[in-house]
Amino acid sequence: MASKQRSGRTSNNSMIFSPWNYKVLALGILMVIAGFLAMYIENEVEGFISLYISPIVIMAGYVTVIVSILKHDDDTGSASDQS
Amino acid sequence: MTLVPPLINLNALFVDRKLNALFCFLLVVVFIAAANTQQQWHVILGLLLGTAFSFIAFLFRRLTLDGMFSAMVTGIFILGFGGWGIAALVLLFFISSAAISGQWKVRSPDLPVSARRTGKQVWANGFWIVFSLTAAVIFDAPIFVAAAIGALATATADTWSTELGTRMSGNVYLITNLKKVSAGTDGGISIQGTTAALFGSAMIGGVAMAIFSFQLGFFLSILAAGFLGSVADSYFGATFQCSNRSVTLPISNQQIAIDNDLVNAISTGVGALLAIILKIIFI
Repeated sequence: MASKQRSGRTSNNSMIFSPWNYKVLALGILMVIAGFLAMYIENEVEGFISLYISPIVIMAGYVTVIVSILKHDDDTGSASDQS
Repeated sequence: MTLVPPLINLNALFVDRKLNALFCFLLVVVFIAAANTQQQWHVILGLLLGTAFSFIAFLFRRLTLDGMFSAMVTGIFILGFGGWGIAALVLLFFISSAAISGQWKVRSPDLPVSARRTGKQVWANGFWIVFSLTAAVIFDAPIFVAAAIGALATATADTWSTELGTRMSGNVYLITNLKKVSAGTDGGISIQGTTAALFGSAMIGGVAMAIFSFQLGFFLSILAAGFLGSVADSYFGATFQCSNRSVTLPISNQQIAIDNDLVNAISTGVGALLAIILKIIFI
């Protein structure tokens, strides 16, 4: 039975993310960190960066992370392997 | 010569693992940015209890490995952002479904892997609950809690009607053209199954009303949302599953095969949406 389970699991063992996903994920996290870092460096509650630049950069970073998680390579997604 | 759009295989897309990753990320963001202290403690408690319960379910052959991780993530969100009230409702759903389907017996070790619940099945029933609870915390809007309860009522009504409707003898008709079909057919409805759906939905609505001290209007909107959600499940089951039809997505021009999990996910979404609409209209 153990061999049966092992063979059943091998099809599930492939990676869900491609190198593209990891690169975009790193870019998104970098954007979030850069946004917060810019606010820290400016050190003003109502400064230009704190009010206008950082919120956009941080939100863009969040969206980039979400896209990097959800986007899938079309080659592996389409059902050419349906047989 | 007509070009056939490529068919998307949801299993090859690893939807359950991607949802796990996405909601883990959202958990961190919401935990830091939007949750209050009580919710943060509930998240930590949910992490401990969710891990323990999911692991026990895995050991008792109720969940696959992917199903265990999905149940952990949904458990953290349910206890963390829904509190003890929603967690109690979800437990009620699990216990009642297990009692009705007779799953109390200990399973033999040579049972096939397919008998365990997969991550896709966990997310099919839990996605809209988790999504609604996250929205409730981010926007600080209790109406999304009603949406979560509506989705849960739909899941309960659907499970009760499927389990009881297929077991009891009686006439079963296809919901789209009312032709007689055999019990267990996708989209088949019977008097017993419909009554079971009504009772399942009423149970969730009634217990939610008692826990959250809501008015009678809330109970009625959850009852209606859960029942109509399960009717939508039968309708989509009859339209797509029964005839193995696939749908072409509008923008990407790809075909997607509608399986049972996708039908469940759509119908719980319908239940959640109906709960929001009915709550706005009647309360």
